[in-house]
Amino acid sequence: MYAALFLVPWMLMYALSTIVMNHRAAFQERYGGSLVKWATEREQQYTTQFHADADAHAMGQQIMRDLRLNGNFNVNLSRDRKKLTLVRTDPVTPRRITYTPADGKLVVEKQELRTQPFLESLHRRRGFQNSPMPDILWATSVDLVIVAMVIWVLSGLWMWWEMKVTRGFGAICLLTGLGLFTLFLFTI
Amino acid sequence: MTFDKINRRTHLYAALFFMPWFFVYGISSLVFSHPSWFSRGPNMVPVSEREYKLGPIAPDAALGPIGDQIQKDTGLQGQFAVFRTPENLIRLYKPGFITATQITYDPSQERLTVQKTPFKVSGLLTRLHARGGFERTDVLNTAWSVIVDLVQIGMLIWIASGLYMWWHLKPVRGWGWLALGAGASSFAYFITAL
Repeated sequence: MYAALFLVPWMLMYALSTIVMNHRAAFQERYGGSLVKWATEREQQYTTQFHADADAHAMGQQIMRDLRLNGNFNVNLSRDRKKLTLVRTDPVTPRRITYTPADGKLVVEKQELRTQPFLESLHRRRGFQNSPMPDILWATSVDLVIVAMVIWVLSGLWMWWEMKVTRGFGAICLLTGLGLFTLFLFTI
Repeated sequence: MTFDKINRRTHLYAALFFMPWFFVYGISSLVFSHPSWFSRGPNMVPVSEREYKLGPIAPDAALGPIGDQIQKDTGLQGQFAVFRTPENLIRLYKPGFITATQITYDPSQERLTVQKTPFKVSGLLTRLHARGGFERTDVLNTAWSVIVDLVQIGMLIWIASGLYMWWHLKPVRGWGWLALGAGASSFAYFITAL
């Protein structure tokens, strides 16, 4: 019970985010085509010298440090190496930074806060690889949710079995659910 | 029947009915959270490869009819999604639960390849977890997506009915408040710190 109370915000987020992900097309229509909307926050000249052996992530780290944007980010260097795109994966206000070394131009864009992408980004957030401490703690909390879900299933089954009065109808519910699930499993 | 009893029974019977989905969502999240633990073995194995000529395809050509033609020529049944890869390959994909099938047409080489995923528990779990949406129009997929919504509504009901049951257990209210408060503030910390 205490684990369930502690994890209420996570379960609420996973339930609501799954609904909005299940209805992504409806949200796309509602938002006029694209789920996310970027607005230019600022444009500036950016001249810096990267190390000769700096990879995209190292370049990204330097830019993020200079912009004083702390936290986790994704990085993508275009195939022709002419454009470096960084996305600071802030759950509330993600920012996209586009750097074109040829003209030393840096564009910072801010993502408009919208229900669908906000919930979906939280739902998809996971992983322990090369992440700052808050992300590692978040990934640990996701693992905690996983363990709790398995425990709730097992303890729930045990509690149901202990209540003799609900065994009959409970068994019908359980078997109907299992039957329907098995049907989907082998037909989709 | 009192509201208290209706609440308890709804909590229990909904949980028993949706248990397979809830269990799969829980256990499959481990594959997403720790992909390196499950990355052994190939993702796709070839089924067939042959020469195939479809004629020139314009860069802005509608992919639906092209996909239909390719699927017809392979004789494979089911609803495939069709898309163009950045390498300009035409790809058809059908993510069944037990196995996923992929057809790839390379216009530059005029070759058609059919691949399937080998059976892996981790693959099955991720496909079960990620399945949803109402873009596919066949009855089974639509029914699955309706169930996905119902499972989430079930989760919201478990939260609400669980909170109600906790509130009526006076001896555990204090520690319950502590757990609820700690969870809410930890979550708020993540929203601001991530």
